[in-house]
Amino acid sequence: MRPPLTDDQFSALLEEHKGIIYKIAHSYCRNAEDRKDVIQEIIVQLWKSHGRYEERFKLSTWIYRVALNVAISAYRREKKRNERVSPLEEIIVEPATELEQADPKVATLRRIIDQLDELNRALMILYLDDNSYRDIAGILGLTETNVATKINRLKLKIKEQFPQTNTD
Amino acid sequence: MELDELKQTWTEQARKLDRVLSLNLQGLKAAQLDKTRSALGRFKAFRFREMVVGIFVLLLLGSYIADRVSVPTLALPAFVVAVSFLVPVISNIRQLLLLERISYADPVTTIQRKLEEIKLHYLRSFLFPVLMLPLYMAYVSVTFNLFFGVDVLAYGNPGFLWANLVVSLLFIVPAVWVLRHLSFKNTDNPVIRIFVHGNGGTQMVAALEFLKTLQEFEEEANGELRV
Repeated sequence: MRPPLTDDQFSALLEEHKGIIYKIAHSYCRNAEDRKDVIQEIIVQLWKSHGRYEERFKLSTWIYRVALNVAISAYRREKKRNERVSPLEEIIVEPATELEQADPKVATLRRIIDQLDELNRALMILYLDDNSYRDIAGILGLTETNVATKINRLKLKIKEQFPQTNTD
Repeated sequence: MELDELKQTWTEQARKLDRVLSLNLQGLKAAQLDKTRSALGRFKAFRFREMVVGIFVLLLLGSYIADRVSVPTLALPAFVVAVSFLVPVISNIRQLLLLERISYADPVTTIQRKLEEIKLHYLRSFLFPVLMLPLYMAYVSVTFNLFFGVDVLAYGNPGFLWANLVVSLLFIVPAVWVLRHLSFKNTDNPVIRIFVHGNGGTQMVAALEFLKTLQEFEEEANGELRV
């Protein structure tokens, strides 16, 4: 456990790790408004739970856990809501972001992430962010062996599903 | 395409994002206070309101029973109705306590399972009316006495009472069946799906399915190692 952070310390912590929060929110929410809500909710949960942060874990592990838990819950709520939308609403799709338009590799990456379920998506994000198997296992609550097997399976799946994707 | 190629793209994208990204930290204070935006906050508020309404109804029923305690044909059905309100109140208190203990800083599979179990606990309460079906005469008795001043069990037509007793007994079968078979192992069962459809049943199946996915996600590798 660590003593509560001051507002400034907390802001500095967020500034340092804002990339994690944004990448996770972006990977689970296509809609910009929903993304803002998720980012806000992640920050609220980080603030509420920072007093309970255990120093035996890396700071990034704690941030990943909170962010993924919030994003997955929001994604599941959103999925349920989307199942109820009218066909007219369904055809209104948010256009690709500037980054995706500018870079086809990013668009491919987005397509691959989008087709994964919420749990495998978390695994993928953590792997792409260069976390060790040990850290991924700690964040997701799996064994290292399980993580390794799943990563290998993801690699094979991507190879099979996108065999000749030209990303240049 | 290799996953490691994607890693490179991801890293490049992250670098670009980091440059353009700015979190609105000024909004932080407002966000902390704006708890109604959080779904968990809304869920908690709803559970709390339900609990308060339940307690209010229990107080009214308590007073009803106290006034008729010497008439078993009126007091006993009211007691059954009171139990049917007491169970959801206890369930709400339990859910509120569980929600209070949720820390998003725990591992993803642990928290997602806890959240889904709380949701399931809540959704199961929608099935309570099904489980209370065999005792529906208790509600009839209290309603008739409250609105028409009639003690239907003491002075009702014997044929009417016998017919209702038979119907009550018939309702025991589906109630017990649902109670015994509703688990994530049975979400593929079409009968279960039909039975729980509506009244939160669809959400319940979704919650059960997610628990099943979580279990598979955690156990998949072990299964593979055994092969």
